[in-house]
Amino acid sequence: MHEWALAEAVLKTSIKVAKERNIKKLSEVEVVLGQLQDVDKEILEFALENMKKGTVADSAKFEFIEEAAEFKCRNCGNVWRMNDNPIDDAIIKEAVHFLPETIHSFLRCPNCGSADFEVVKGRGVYIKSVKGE
Amino acid sequence: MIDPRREAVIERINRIPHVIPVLSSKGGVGKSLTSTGIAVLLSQMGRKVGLLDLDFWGASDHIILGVSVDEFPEEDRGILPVPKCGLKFMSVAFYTRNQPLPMRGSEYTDALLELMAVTRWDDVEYLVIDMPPGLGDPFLNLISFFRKGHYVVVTTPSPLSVMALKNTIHMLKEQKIDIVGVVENMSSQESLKEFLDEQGIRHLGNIPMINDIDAHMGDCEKFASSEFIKHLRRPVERIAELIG
Ligand SMILES: Nc1ncnc2c1ncn2[C@@H]1O[C@H](COP(=O)(O)OP(=O)(O)O)[C@@H](O)[C@H]1O
Ligand SMILES: [Mg+2]
Ligand SMILES: [Zn+2]
Repeated sequence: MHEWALAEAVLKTSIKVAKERNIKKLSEVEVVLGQLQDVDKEILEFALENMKKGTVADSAKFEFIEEAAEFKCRNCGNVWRMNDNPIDDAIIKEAVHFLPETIHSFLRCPNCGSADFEVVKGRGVYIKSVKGE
Repeated sequence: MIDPRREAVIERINRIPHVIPVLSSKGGVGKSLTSTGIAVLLSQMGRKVGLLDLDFWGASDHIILGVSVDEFPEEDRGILPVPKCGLKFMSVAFYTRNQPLPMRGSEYTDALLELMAVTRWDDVEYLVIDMPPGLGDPFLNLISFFRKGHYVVVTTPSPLSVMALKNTIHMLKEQKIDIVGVVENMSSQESLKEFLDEQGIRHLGNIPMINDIDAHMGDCEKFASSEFIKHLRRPVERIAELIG
């Protein structure tokens, strides 16, 4: 489960931010989950709940915000969403789950066929906010 | 937005005792063969070795070692590098399945962060890194994340390659990065010894043109028994002595 490694990254970063901001007790951490990477929210949550014990995030609530993936072609300017054309190939899904940039190996702009597009939204796992006192 | 991966990457890097990036700003000088060879030789010397192919645009090391990319690396609280030829191996090729990976420098950086954040090197003592050519995003990321690495620069005796060597050394010195030395590839003698002496840089040795090198790729044993590896042995012994 590579979600555990992502959870570890989220937790360690939250703890570091808490330290920087002199927060003694974290109350809430908002985590954005990008649709492209398609992480398993349940596993991520389970891992965070498990690993937070005994840390400054012990009683923190991890809020997850799911963000739809959106692409913009750098060649023709076309903007499209992942939902317009979902990936159904299991191998591609898994590759992109591990390494979202591999989307450039498998997806092309539906308008002009270019591989040079930007993932404008919904790429992966980010921390949106860290709260506490 | 806070990127949770940076912290994870820095922590994972700090846990690796010795990192050996193999680079040159010039392409085609033998970085991939040399880095893969260094990893194989260190592991033959009984060290615990990892090999990381960071040439995302032109991943090659899996071809040299004959690693199949038909299956994803195993997952266990992260991603486990694939055991092969006595070392642990990681490459984007496992995820691109040998398809081209066209992307911008910023996307290269994203992919690097992602891969480093989740790859578990665990007990690896020596992480050898194969680099793409150039002084762009990959190089700048490398010298920023792997400040404490022991860098090996590869060159050929061609004046075109020596220019690139000069510039690579210039950049590494400017950033106060440790250069273990230079491997002079596709060369019948140590023709750059004097030039490197002037620069205060160690000449680790030369590797001649090996005519049947192609026949020694795609299999651990074949590669290990190649003339290339035979000539690389002494330079690698020196690297091992120097970095401990
Ligand atoms: N000493 C050598 N003798 C013969 N061919 C070599 C030698 N070193 C490298 N090559 C060949 O040169 C090409 C470039 O080598 P490679 O390791 O891919 O360089 P880089 O990674 O710097 O681009 C490959 O085809 C490789 O087989
Ligand atoms: Mg190469
Ligand atoms: Zn387009």
